[in-house]
Amino acid sequence: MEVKTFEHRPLVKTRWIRTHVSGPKPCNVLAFLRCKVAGMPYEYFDGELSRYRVLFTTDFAIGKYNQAQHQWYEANTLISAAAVLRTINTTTDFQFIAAVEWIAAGVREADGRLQFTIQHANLMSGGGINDSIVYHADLTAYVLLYEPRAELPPPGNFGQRVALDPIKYFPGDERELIYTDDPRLIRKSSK
Amino acid sequence: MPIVLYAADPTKGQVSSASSLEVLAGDPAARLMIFSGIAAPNITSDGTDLEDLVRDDVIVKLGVSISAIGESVVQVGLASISNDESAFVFAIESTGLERDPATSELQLRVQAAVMGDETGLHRFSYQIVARVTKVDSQIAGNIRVPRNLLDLGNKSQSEVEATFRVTANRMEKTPRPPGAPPAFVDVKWIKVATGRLVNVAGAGDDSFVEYVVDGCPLNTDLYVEVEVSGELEGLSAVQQTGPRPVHLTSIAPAVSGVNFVVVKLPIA
Repeated sequence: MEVKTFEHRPLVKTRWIRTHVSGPKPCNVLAFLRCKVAGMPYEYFDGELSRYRVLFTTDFAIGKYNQAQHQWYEANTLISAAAVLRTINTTTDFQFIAAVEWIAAGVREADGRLQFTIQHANLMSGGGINDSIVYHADLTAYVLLYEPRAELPPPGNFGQRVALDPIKYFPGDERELIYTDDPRLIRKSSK
Repeated sequence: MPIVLYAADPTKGQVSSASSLEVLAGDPAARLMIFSGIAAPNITSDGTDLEDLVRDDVIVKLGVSISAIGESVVQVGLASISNDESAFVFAIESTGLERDPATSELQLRVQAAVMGDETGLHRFSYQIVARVTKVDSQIAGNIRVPRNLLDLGNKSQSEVEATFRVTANRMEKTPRPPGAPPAFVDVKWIKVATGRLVNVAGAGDDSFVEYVVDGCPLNTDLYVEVEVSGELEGLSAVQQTGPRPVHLTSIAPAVSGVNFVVVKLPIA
């Protein structure tokens, strides 16, 4: 069965930190990224396994990226990424499968932002009409890349306290989860 | 017995999205190594009593030979779980990074547990950051290419690199399936290290492409394979001299003279 790929168009808010490294050549920067995995779950099938892929783009971009050299960047930007299920929340007992099956990474040709495609698999069955199940995952990635040394961008954005998108857990439920490691935002979300 | 999964062998389908990075870290043999992947141990349980708790050790072979592990950080999390409307347990109980004393291969050890009706912990994700010292082991040799087959004298370095692929492999024999003839032998090559080309030299009617394969595992029977492509497509590189298999040890961690020649093999 063909597995469909969906594109999540908004940039995914991402935290990162960069550090200089001395190789292997031509790489001179090692970056660590963390963001939410976009597009999960995309759709529900009662009792049937649903497999789909989501392509999403982080807001991390290679510094001084040159679109004309895109193939060179693809060959020389080395990405090692993992995704883990971080929370799962249900209103009742379900039969379920929640899975992140594989990850592929690349460099967006237009602007040098890092992109990820993730294959999800879901099965949910056994709840009532108003019952639901929600889960989400985190992505972390180490990236070896090249950036002109004289013009390196800021080493990270952790100091900016990026406000990540809130997650509405259940339709009609006023509560929402602010998924962030900023304690000020966690307090603001309490209702 | 632990469940053993091989990250460096995508044909087994045991670890998806396996990747690794290597950053230079001062000493020539010192590296900061980063590994990521989604391992599929497929641990299952069917019951909600305490005695239904299934606990398994999982070893993920990372495909890199090392002589020592320095500081390391291991992150492991759930990637695929299932349950059939029951109480459940999904647990990653412990993780560790170790060196296989027999082969010097770096490996991740995870203890996982699962409980519940028709419940499974099918996959977990891992990300490892470790300072390691790589094994100073090496296989070296050359590939002789007769000029009447291809003249390498006027080829660029990138053209030569695109023509040859050198790997060190271990051999795995799969059992004879029922009904197969007695002579059936299914041999599978598991790549353990990739070689690099270091020089091209000419002598008489031949060109010689020199290669080295670094970081090969110790105490393992290794078979060097050379694949040719591009203008040599359809030809074969056969081993002419040197040991086959190559067996490296801590006393003799390097072997040279594993030489090949490119030939036209008769069609069987």
